Amino acid sequence: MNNRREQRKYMRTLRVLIVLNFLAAVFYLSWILDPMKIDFLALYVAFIVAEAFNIWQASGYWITVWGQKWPNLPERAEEDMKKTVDIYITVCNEPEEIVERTLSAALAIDHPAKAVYLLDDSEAPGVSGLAAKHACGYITRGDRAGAKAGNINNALTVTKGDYILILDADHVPLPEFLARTMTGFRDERIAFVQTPQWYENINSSQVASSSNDQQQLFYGPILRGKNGLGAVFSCGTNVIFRRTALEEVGGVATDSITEDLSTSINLQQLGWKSVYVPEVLASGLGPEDLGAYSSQQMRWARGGLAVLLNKGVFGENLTLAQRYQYLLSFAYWLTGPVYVLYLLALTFGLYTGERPFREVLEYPAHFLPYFLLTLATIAYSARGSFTFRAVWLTLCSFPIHIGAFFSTITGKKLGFVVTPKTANSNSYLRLAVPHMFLMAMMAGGMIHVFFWANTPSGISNSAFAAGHLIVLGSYIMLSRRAEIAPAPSPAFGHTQPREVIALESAEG
Amino acid sequence: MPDHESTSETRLKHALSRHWPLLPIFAVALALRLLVTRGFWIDEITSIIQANTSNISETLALIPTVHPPLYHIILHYWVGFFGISELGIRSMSIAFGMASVVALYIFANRFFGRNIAIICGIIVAVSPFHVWYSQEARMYSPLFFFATLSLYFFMKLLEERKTASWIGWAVSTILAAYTHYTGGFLFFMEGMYALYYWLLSDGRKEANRPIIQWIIGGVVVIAAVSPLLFFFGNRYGGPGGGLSPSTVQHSFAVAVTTVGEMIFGYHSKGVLVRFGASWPLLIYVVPIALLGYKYIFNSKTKFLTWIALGTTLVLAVAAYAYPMFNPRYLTVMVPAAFLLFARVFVRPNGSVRLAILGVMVALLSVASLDQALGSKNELRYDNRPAMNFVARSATQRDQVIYTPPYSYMVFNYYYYSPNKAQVFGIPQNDLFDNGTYGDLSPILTRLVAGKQRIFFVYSFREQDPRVPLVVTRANRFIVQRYPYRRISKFSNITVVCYSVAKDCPKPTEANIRSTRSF
Repeated sequence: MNNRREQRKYMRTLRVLIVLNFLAAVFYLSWILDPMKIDFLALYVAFIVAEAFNIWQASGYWITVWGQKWPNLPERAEEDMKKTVDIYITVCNEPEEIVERTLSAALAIDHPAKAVYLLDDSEAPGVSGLAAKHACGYITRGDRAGAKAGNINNALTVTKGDYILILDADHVPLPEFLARTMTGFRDERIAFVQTPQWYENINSSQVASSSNDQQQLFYGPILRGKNGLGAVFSCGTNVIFRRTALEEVGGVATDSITEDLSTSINLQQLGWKSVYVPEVLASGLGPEDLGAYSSQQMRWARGGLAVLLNKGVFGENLTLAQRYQYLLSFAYWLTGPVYVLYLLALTFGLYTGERPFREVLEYPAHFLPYFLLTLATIAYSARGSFTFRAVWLTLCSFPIHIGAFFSTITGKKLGFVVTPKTANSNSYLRLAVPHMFLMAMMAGGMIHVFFWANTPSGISNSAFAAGHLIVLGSYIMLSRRAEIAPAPSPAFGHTQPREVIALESAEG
Repeated sequence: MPDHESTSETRLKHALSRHWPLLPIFAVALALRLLVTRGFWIDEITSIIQANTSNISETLALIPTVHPPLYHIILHYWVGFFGISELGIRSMSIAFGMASVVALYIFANRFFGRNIAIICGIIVAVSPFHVWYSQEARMYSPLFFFATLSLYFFMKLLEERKTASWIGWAVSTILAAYTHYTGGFLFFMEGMYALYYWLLSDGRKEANRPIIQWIIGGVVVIAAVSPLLFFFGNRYGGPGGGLSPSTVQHSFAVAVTTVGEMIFGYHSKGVLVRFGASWPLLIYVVPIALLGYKYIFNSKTKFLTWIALGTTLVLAVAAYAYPMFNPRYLTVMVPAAFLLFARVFVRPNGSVRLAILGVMVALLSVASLDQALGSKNELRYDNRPAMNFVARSATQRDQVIYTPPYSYMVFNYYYYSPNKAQVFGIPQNDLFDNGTYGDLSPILTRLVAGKQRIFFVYSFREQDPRVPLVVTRANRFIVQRYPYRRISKFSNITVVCYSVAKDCPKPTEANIRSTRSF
């Protein structure tokens, strides 16, 4: 969406939708918060807690996307090409062919003053051979302290470039990566420039495509919105740091398993700023099976929640907008517990016939306008890139979210685990045990309603449960399937978007 | 063979090879619309009374300002050809309904392509709402047709900017407004969109032309429908104006339920309540349809969404202030809703969407059949068997009484008594509005004097709160004088026979069959 007129048009329509969505939310809240509507108190309280979280997240989304900002970066000039850039490719046991693809692409980046380094934390030899073969820098170390962050910090002591481009081993950059981003550093206050992640292996498995779809909302309207609010955080790859900024905060943070988040907060607390360039300039590999996906999500959830609980969201020197944005982003990981709260309340209702509200027929009339407008707002803001399977995978990730929540509270240690880049042939049925349990509970409740409580209220609950059974059942099917991914398609195949949430041709 | 003939033949062959699905769609649509199992209700009989006159000026004199005159005028000429039998009267609505199926197919094909045209054609063919109003002898079928044309030409106007488009739009919009006042509302909604379109154009010159055309067309439409505004103001604006009193509670829930009825049609309360209780399934269906659908927000779907949702929302809000909410008043937005429905649920390779669509079409088909054949549907209007039963059973020694009093129209059309029994409608307005509240005794005393049997015919369906009161009090009065009683229930009518002897008849195949020919 490079065209300013299209951006204005998009924002105008989106804001109209947000205003309508807000009015619908007020209409809905005015109904559910009416004490006269309360029927069974315990269910009502559970429902209100869950709904309050969801509406808060929705309103946070409106606030975020209301002020979306596309960076108005100038064309590259001679001065930008003279800036020295170290390109770090962090390697930790990824297959050599994957690393080599990234390395070749990094060497082809169009920037005269660049130096490419393989930062090797692998246990097996072989990466050094790649470095020799392609005549690039190779940096390794004796220990693995600090995981990826430690690896980068070690390299910082060795290389001298004024800017550091960090690429995960599987993220293949485009030649114009630096040409499209380095002009962002003309502003001396900019600490880092982040670009989107996009998975090129979306056709290899259901998990890869669904997790890619999950990313679309974040790397589209959300990060553009955070850009407008000065709250862009680093996502660990496809990001360029200014060396002086990194050095001022003592390098990449090693106190968190999500080093990118922690580092971003450290920088912003010192007054540094960040920019988001919403242009896909590198393609990576997403998790291809549930094992890889769970490992990735657990790390992100743990990291996010740990920062929420322990770090500087409420600390000093962050703007109100930044604090709010971090709070919103990290609280996303509470989606799982809230979803389970819904399911438990629903199951209780199926067996007992109790309900949170009186006048149940009035409920959909107040809820549906809000729900439909929320969907319309999301669908429009994401220009169709955010799909149902993304929502589905998020909902089904509740065991991960809950696990992360409790392990964060109890302080249980979790090491940095690199997301596997290829699928294996395992079945992940064990990951679906909680889903099976909840399904069995709800199915029993539906049978109870069918034979013994066939009332409109029971039918409504059963309809809810039927939808959840499909959602959870699909996850179980997925966990049974051993998806073997084909070899990654050539980087930047025909499906690669220019912008994560590109404005499609209006006429479809 | 001359060239032009071969060209037209080739075109026809091409059209048939491409649009052959329209033929089975048309056949299914016609079959469902001919499957009329219900009798006329009061409003339909009003249509007949107003149309079945010896000349058009008589018809015009009979038409009140409740609705604009176009439908009644066309029906006047129609009954001249087709007579006033049920099928003869309904055939006009069926004709407009079938024309709508074709028009909507052409509409969808023109703007969204063949696949969506087929799906849209199937949806409209089996839609319970459309089937119902394609059978009803009221103005909603022509209104749907003219609204479809108006929307079609409006979209063409935005795209092609040809003079023919705005002329087509102006004419069809005028016809829609002269068919029903909500046709004028369609004009308003289209105007709002034209304004939005112009505001978003950022002053581009190419956006000015359709707006200028729309303004010129709009002036023509306003000039043409201005006489209606005068009648509308007189009918609804003054003190004592307004629609008939309604007992419907005007909550947002009613509005939403009404929209549900608009899609799924009319069924017995039991079916509707259970159907409505399944609404949470929407939470899964809608996201599947909406999310990930990149092309949902283009200029065409935006316009259709505005017409479909905007109209519904405005009427729903208006319903809070004014007792007017009824699914049939939403007719003008239904073509847009069907097109959107087809557009949202179909895309190449969208197997999930196609599955959902299949389920929806199956549901709509079942709903259409249930609506027509389900014996519990309160809107079946079994006036014909009820009237036949009473006419065949009552004799000169009996008295037939009915309520509400406006049921006289039903009697006028259906009641043909070879036995010449006395018929009387209880004038509840006088009783309740003029200070004699509830005192039925003088009237009933006079009516029952010397009568062997009383056939009391009443219908609660009209939602007039006075009817149950009259029924209760009349029953209480009569039951004291007649020891024997038999209650016969038809879908919307109850016939209570009171007798001094044990001779109240039962409805049988023989006595409910019509003997009257038109």
